Amino acid sequence: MGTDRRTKPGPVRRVWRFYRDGFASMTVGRTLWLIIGIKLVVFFVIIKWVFFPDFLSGQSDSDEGKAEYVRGRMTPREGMPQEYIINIKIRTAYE
Amino acid sequence: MSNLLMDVVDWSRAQFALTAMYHWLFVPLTLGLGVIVAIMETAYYRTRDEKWLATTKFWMTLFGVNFAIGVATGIILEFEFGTNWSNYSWFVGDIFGAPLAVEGILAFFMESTFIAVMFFGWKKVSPKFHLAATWLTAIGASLSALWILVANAWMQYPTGVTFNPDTMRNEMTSFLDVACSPMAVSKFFHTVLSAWVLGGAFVVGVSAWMLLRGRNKAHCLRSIKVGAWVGFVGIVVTSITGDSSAVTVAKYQPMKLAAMEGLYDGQREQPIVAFGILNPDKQPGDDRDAYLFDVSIPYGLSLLATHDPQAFVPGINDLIAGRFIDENGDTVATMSYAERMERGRHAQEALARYGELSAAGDRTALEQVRAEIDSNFAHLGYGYLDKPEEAVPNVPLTFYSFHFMVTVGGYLAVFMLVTLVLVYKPKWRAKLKKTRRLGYHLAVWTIPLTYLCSMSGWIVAEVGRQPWTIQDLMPNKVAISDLSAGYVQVTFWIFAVVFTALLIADVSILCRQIAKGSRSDLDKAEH
Repeated sequence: MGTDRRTKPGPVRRVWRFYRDGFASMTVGRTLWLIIGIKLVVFFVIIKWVFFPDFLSGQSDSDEGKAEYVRGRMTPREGMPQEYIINIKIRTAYE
Repeated sequence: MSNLLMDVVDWSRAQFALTAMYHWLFVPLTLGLGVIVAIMETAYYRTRDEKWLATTKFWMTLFGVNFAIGVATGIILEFEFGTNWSNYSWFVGDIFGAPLAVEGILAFFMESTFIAVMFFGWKKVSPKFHLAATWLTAIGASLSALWILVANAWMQYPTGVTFNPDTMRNEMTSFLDVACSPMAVSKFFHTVLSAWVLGGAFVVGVSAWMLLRGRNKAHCLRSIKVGAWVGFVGIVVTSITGDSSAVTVAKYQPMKLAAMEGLYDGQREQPIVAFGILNPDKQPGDDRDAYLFDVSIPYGLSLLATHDPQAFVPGINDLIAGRFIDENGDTVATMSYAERMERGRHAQEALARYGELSAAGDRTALEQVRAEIDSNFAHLGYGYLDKPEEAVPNVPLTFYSFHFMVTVGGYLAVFMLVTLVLVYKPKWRAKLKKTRRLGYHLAVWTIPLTYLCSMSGWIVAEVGRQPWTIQDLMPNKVAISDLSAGYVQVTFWIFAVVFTALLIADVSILCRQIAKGSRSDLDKAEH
């Protein structure tokens, strides 16, 4: 029993070896992993970090503030007509 | 200001379309080829024939190339939600977050675990475990797609939610309603099974290319059998789910259906246009003919939309005017778009008042305003439109995409059936010896044709629902963030370059692997 424990690697080590040997035996896979690596760096480090911040977090730190910002964007604002007039001519054109 | 705003909307839409369509170049091949590889490995597991093993490994390599290059291309879409579509992202609340979170967990744990066993585990795990891993990779990919499609279906038919005016977010009241809405179910099966068709066309086309070079005939015939069966089952189920999709669209997105058919003035016993050329000058509300030329099938659209050949199908003008013809042939007035615009604006004003009253702490008045919001909420999005015609999508693009998709879908059904017949009937193949090379070339060109068909389906689904980001509730111009058009243009071109580079890498590595496979002797390969 004791001998088995010394010679048989644990599950973590077996998983590690599984992946290590798998990667080591790859041929076309190495090129693919290089592409995946470059792609993830470009996506997450450059594109996400530089160009894609969370827009609403820039407007407010709190959820309440974000909700009010969105309410402002979705409801009538200053400069917009207070009373909307439905164009009767448009309506009758289809009747 | 108005022009600038439209520029931002247009650029953001263009950017989303670009990234989504590039993403969709990789996804259907992963879904379709995953199933085909799993079937091939099952054949190897059952027969222990080394030739099936060689065939399985050949296609598994191509699957791996496509998967590796396509992986994470969808994450860009989530970046865009947070930056370009922030009002939408907030408004949609957890409805989008929950399915995407499930998708992320499934994609990461299921696919990344079992795909490693697929590629690294041939001599490390038992054949049964390996086969299970291959199937679980294929199933995991489809389950990932399920949650994305559930989220997309909710945007087309928002259900299972209640809007909370305090948080300005939609809150899920029934996960089952969201996940199992008729739109989600038909969308899932229609999309995933169409990916099987693409996978089948890919396998048949690549095998035909190898046959043109006269190598690995037995391997190619084995591959074509599996590819054509998967493609044939795929196209049959895609047709059936296409029919249920049409019924769902007729019910929940009648304007999309009208645009798909270029139908302006509907009638009972509505024919369907089998082939037609739209009149480019036709506008909603005018008296011009909708088509310059058309060939129609009597009762077709009534049957497709309602399964009743007598039923009335509303056209664009009918929907705008709120006109419907009942079973007695009487014209019935329903809510016009002008009325919906009015009610949408009441909902907006009530939302604004709710915010003011909430800040003042007037609970009694809040209840009344809440009731106003609830009673008009279904029309909220119409309140942002400047005129009813704004609710009409791009008719020519939707019409031609729909008819292209259906025509190519019909061709694919015939192609897969003929391929199956020929692959199982050597005597019939022998009779067609003179045209064999032409058939191989046709099979090769069927690959890009199937991709175009798949893309057309998405154009119908997404262009046809314009101007809505969320059907009837939120148009694009409200969903968009307050960004400059130039900012979005910069990232558009970055994505165009990055994704084009990825596509070139994908195609070139795939071609290299296919050429390598065609040079090797797959029927005598030792493993």
